[in-house]
Amino acid sequence: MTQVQAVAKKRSRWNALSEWFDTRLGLANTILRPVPSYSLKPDYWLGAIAFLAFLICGFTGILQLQYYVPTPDAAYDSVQHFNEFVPYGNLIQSVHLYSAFAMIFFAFAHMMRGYFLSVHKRPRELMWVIGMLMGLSALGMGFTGYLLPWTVLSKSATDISIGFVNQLPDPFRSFLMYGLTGSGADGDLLLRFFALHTVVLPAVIFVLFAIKLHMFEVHGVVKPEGNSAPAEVRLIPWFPRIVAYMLLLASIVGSAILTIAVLFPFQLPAKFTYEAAASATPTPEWYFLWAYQILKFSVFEGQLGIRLALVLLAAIMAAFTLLPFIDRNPRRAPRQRPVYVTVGAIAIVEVFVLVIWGSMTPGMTIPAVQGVLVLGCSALATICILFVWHRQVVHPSEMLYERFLARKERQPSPETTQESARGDAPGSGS
Amino acid sequence: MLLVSLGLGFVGILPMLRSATPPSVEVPKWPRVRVANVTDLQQGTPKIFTYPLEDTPNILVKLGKRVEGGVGTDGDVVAYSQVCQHLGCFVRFLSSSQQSQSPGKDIFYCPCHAGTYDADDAGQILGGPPLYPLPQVLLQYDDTSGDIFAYGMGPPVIFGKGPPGSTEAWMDLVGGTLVGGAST
Repeated sequence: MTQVQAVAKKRSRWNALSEWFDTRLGLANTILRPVPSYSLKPDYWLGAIAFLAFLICGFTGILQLQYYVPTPDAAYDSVQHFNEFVPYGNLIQSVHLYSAFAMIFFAFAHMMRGYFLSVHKRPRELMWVIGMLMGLSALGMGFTGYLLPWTVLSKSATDISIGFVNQLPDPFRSFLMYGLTGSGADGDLLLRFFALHTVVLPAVIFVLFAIKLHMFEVHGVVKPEGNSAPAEVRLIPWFPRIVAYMLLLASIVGSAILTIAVLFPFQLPAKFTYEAAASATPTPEWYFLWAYQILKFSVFEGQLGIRLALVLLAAIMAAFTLLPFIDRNPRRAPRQRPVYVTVGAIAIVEVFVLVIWGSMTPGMTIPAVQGVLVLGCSALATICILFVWHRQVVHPSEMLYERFLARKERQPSPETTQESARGDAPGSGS
Repeated sequence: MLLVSLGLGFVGILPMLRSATPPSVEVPKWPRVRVANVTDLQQGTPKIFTYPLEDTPNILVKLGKRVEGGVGTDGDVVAYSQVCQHLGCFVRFLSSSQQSQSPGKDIFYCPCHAGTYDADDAGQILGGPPLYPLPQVLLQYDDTSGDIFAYGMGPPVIFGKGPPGSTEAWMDLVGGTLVGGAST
């Protein structure tokens, strides 16, 4: 048998095996259909990366679950024990933490990419809504997970968030307070957050993921718009190229998380005691600092202020969730929707400004004038930069492109050439 | 047939919804517990104790000056809820020599948003975002033994135990384990 024949035989065995599975699973007809070649760019896979980070969180979370004790007296000690005495405990906790950060960061990046490229438009409106619900659930995972080690920072920060709920008018207050804290005792609070973090929210995310994946398979990848639109779409089968591409992305993200986890291992803050809480200024994790900073503006003090702030935050979330029904402009290319692109750019800039600012001013009330000034100036700066960028970069190239098109239209037809020559004649003749 | 079974199933589910609503409880009496002996207390050094539930902390402090509601031989021992009335953080005691923002006053200070309460005068608000004064722990002094007992809480309700600012102090007793035993 020659070498070629041997390879061919090996291949056919592999083919037989994969065919056997595919006849039964049918995956080649559903989620493993060939993928258009233009989608082999990392920005098409941001959502997949976020979901990969979620899976890593699930894996490391299950390991931690073997040791965790969800009672106020024992929670901290069980986390500390896992951290210090269980082999690789600290690494597992660090990977869990940074995967959670990665999940939230890539989910945000995935959302903003979709916003700018108009993926929320017909027929993908409900994909956007489901995606937003998944993102909010991911934030809920972060919020509930923060409490579980029962450290002085995390317990106090959770108390503050619940304190906001406590300031709502009554049917909402009593309903939400009961939902989040049960009777109000610490044990109830911890048990509820534990159930939400380990059972309810992961289940919600999995169900929403299944629905979204189904819709994705029906509607497919969003085609790039405008100048970057491909002339013809080439389809690439899943095996081996897409699998290799996914493995490449996954290993880049995974090793990045691992590297960060090794370089900056998770350090357990002090245990929660009433004495320690009285001298610590609690802050939320970075992904809530933007909301934290807004809530510290002096206009949002007092009961009415707190209610207003909560309504404002809920309205921002609702507006983003229901974006497909607000932004009904059918055009998709970013340059054809300047208002939404500007609003999106301002939103990103403000989130970064608020997060950095919030980390610099823990526990300090921000005077309203200062808040308006900082947010206003950064918004104005964003608008200016976008305007200049449009005039200097986008607009000239567009004009060139249009001029090129115009010339192309003029040249091939001899009639137009004659007409223009005739038209030119009086001028040149005089 | 389908409608009937659906209806029966719905009726069957209804009682289960009770598990999602707070159970009605009998409000217990205020417990009376010993929190300290005067000989343990040093002027300006606070002591944290939980009352009336295991997870509602309070600060006991000997101020060194006779104040209203103070107990002990000098009438200067007071106790207040440690839970800030703004958003439920935990306040700390600062004597007049430890702080300069309210000159000449002993205060309770919240590290979260700088809420400040008057330790000399019924926990009144001195500054910051809080909307209601700190609830005061009602204390009793036994001059034969020198023991100090807590026997109740004054209004408003401890933050988080009821609608903010409510004067129904009995709500403090519900939802947790009473110090020294019974759960409510």
